[in-house]
Amino acid sequence: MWAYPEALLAGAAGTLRIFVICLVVGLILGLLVGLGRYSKLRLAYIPASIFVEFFRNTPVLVQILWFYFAMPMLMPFEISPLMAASLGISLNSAAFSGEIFRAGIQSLESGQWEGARALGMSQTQAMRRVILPQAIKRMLPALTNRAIEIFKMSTLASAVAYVELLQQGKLIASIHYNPIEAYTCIALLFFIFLYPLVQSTYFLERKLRQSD
Amino acid sequence: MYNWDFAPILANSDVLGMGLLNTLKLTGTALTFGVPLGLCLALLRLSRWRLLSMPAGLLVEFFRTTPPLVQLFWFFFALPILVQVEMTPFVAAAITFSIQSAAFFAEVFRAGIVSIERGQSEAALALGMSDQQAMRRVILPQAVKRMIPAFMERSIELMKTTTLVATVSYADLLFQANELAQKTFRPLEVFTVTALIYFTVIYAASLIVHRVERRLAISGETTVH
Amino acid sequence: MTLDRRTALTGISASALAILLPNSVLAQSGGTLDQIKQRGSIRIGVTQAPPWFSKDPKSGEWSSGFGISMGKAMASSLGVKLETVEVTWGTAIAALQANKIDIMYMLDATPERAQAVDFPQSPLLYYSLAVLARDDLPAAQWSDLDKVGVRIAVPQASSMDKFVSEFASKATIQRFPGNAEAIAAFQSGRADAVSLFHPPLLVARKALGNGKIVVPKPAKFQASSAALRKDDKPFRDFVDNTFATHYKSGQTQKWYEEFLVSFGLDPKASPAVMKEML
Repeated sequence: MWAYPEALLAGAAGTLRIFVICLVVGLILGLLVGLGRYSKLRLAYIPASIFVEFFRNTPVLVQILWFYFAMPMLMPFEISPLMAASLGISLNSAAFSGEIFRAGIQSLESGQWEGARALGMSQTQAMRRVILPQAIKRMLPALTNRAIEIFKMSTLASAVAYVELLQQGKLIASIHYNPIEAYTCIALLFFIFLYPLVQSTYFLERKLRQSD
Repeated sequence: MYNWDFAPILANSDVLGMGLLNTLKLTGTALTFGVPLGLCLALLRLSRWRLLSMPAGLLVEFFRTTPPLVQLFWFFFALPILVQVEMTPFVAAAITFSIQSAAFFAEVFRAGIVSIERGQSEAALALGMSDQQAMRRVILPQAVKRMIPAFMERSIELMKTTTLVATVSYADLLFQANELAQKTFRPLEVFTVTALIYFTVIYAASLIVHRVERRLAISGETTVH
Repeated sequence: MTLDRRTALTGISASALAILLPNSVLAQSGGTLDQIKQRGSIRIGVTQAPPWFSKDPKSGEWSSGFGISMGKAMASSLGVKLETVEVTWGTAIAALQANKIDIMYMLDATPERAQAVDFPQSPLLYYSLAVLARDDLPAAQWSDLDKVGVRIAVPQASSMDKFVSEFASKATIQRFPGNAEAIAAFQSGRADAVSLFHPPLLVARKALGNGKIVVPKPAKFQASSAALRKDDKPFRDFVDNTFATHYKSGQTQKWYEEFLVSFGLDPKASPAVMKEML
């Protein structure tokens, strides 16, 4: 197993790459979806709701395979494994983060707005100094959870042969017939990397709750 | 314009039907074993003896932190060689998802138990109950009621996670869809239909969950007896 | 609020386009040969299946295997580069149809596949269907394997899948995405036997160190081919010619032997892939 540092590094790089793509797209799209769900305009609310319900209630792997195998039959351009996996994971994350954003915005009592305006702040000032910081504080735990979920979902990309950590484990296992060592190693790598992150999100949660 | 042709799908609806049944079978089995195992793990974690709480804690954290697909590959390909036991795909998948869901349920149990006001357990002890009796008669029933929504959500998550078995050879709905797509050369129709089937089943389940949640909220929290 | 939404929307569409467009190539007109020349590369489908295709974990390159040798030869005779695209046996045809690859070697011509893709006239090579079985499993005949309780692993949608499903239908057949997973199932004791063509089993047996390779009787001996997109005569003729030339000159057999040697196997001890040499 240790004879292949390049293979493992290539896998780790692939994992990080798809993680960053899906995190960024998932959050940006999620924000739009969240705003759409919060909006009173039916033109925004209805598509956003359909999006959320559909992508929260279908398994990500099904979506990835659909984008990789089914969509090319409809559209003339190439879908690489990275694109298909990113689409599947990002859209799913956007649906979940959309709800997080919506809950964050909604949870702010209107009293806050009025209080800020009574203090003489403009709408943007109120937004920037009072509303947004509080909203972020409330949404941060759930969003960091989402980020960790996205990181774990990166392994699904191996189903379409994208080169990430699990895919490299499979390759090494198939060449050397040592699945025990290969998969144990991959599992430990993920654990060693994610455990500190998970622990720091617990810590973050506790600190945010205290400062409320 | 693409030539949609759903005929091969309809002709092979039994293939997909069997897949759906296998998905439900796997989800059901994992829940049956995962819930009690999760409760044990939660109680172990809450125990005062570190000899019990630490290994349980480590197990729970490990299965919640590592990606499910990695766990599946390990149980499928590594475990049988390690313990020299032959396992059918169903058994390997069932073990993986039972332990995995147990880890998540353990957290739900633990949070639920801890959330019951300390006053409850003190009141129970004041009434002369032992620790165990307090747990069994006062805390757990209330905790369970609070945890039902989280449980149901976890179960729906589980149903979605079982699709991972399509990458090893358990014949769940997604695996069957793959088979069918490869045999009929109609991936678009097959995967679209499959996505819709999953959506229908899972959406229906989540609607039931919401109704249960609303009913629990209306009935209010139980008060101290 | 509205201002933010509008700028966010433009940002999102820009990033969406950025994700989708760089590698996107709108369906090109002209046959496969024209597309290959335009693109400057020929894309072959590959899957981890020594001796046909094998990936080097150190470099991440698909650098060895019979299919790679044939692919390099085709690329150089067309004056283009060789590109490898990972697929599975079961998804290779879909990949051809979706224009992800130009050709998939080692796909056998079957009537069902011929409905979706074309095959050249000339064979690529010849091989026999075999099993790698537990030493104590009787497997001299296909009828020995056609029993309830015998578990056979095969790659999904491969020739082995089709054959074993038909001729050993009483056995429990486990289908996996590829050769490697099917072999792993045998290795972990989940299957009593794994069925592949003879050459990949030689490779597996060497690495696993146990099990016996048997060509069950009646021996299923056939030609392998390569799948191409439908109705593309110029490319089909090119492939046809290439296969015929290399087969007759013995180059095909040589490439196969080269791989065996690189893997530590003795070419003399393995059956040849040319009908005439058997």
